Amino acid sequence: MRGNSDPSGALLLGCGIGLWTFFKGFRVMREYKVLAATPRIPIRSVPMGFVHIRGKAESSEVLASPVSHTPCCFYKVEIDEWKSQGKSKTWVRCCVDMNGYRFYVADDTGKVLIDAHAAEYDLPLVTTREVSSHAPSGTNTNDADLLRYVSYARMHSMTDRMGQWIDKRFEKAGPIDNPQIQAKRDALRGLFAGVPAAAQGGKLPFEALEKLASAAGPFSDPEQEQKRQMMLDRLHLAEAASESGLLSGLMPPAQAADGRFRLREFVVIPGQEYLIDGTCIENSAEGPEGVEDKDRCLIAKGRHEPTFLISTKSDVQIHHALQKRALLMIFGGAALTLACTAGLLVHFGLF
Amino acid sequence: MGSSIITGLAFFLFVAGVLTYAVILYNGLVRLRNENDRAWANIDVLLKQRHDEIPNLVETVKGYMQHEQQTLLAVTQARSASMNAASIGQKAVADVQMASALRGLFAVAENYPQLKANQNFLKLQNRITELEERIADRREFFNDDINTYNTRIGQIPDVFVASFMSLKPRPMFKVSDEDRKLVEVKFASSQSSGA
Repeated sequence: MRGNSDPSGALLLGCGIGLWTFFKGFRVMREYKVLAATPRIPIRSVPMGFVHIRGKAESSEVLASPVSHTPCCFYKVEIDEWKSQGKSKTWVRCCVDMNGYRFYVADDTGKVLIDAHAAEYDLPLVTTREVSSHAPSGTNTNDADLLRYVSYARMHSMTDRMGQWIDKRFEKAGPIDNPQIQAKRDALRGLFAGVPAAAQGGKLPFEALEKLASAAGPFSDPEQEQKRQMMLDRLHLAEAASESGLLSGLMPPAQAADGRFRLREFVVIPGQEYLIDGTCIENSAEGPEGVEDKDRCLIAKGRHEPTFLISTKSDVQIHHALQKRALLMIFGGAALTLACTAGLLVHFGLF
Repeated sequence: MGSSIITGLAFFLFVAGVLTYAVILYNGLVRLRNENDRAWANIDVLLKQRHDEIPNLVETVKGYMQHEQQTLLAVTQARSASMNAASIGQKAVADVQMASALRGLFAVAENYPQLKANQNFLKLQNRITELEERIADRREFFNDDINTYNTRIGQIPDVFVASFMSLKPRPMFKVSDEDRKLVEVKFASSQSSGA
């Protein structure tokens, strides 16, 4: 018996996905060629620009990863939610949460600082956990903590993305060494960094709001400047009230996420060897003492060369994997496009 | 009609794929060429830093090594040769000359304990040694880069795009064995005539 469903929507979508995959495959091919053509260099001689290095991670500051509590320099947690899509149920990506400190990568010749935010990570899976808010009562403390973490991670990954968007906008708007623009950028970063903790019942980012209000002025219009000063005064009062505990009753408690979730954790562990492909830039001074000589170079995501990879695999394995993925996407995309087009033609009786 | 649409689409995908691949090859070769230039510039920066340290070194040792004029002259001449070198090949020969001259100077300095105890001399010696190591690393990186470039422009299908762009193989930053022997003989004879 024939069904009543019209597959033309799905076939059109398939065509679109096929074409997107076909052209994206060429981007992956480009990334493969860039990595294959860049020789490795000892860390002591790292120049500015795109570099390819290998060494062991080192860090004086470590944090505990949220799922397995592994001491690490950096972690990435992929969170999937069990959702029904039509008649079927499947895991759907909910968010990807990343956090950590800058760490060093050292080889026999020297060490260099790495800012791992915005990198593509090819790391071994440390642990996978499933948690559900619908589990029988008496859910253990661990599961409750993980559900609260999922709620935090959703907010944190969103504010992280907004922070990166803000950074890009500021880079386009003006030179980085303009102090007023720098102050606004730092204030907005502080604001976005403080929002996830505040949403979980933590301290509100009053300091960041005050910095933003201060960086916005002074205004030439006296009325506007008066309003700005009044806002600053109110923020000071609110901060004082928060510190004295007057606002604690008003703040919502930390919220746990609702649903069934799968958490997959990847970490950068001190002492383990990593291969890094990224852009070496000048590390701008962030403190009153400036930057030490050994920290002058920083490897991060480049403005003009977006490739930034941190991996535990060998060069050969990475190149092979990238090449395979590129060819699969190119030929797979083309095949999907052709198949969906043939399906559409059959459906409309043209074939 | 349906089969002609499919055939048309397949042809379009094939042409789009070939054109996109050709653009990737072109961009890749442009990138390789610019990377070569950057790698060379990164060596040049270190060579210039080394040149700048040489006058300080000569001034520091002059007072102690009054009877080692030939050794000091070799270093000064090597520096001039390095600064006047134009092509990569000439710079490679000059680099070997400079390395030999500095090796000779540091070896002779071992005979002067007062010089060895001089903080300024030690600082310059460490600085120049560090620069030499970094030059060696970047030379290796540059030659790897050139090798990749030369291999790519000689292989199919890059060779077609390379001939369209008039790209030619580039020389590496290295010295032939004959030139290296010539430099070492020249240095040894200048040392023995001074002794």
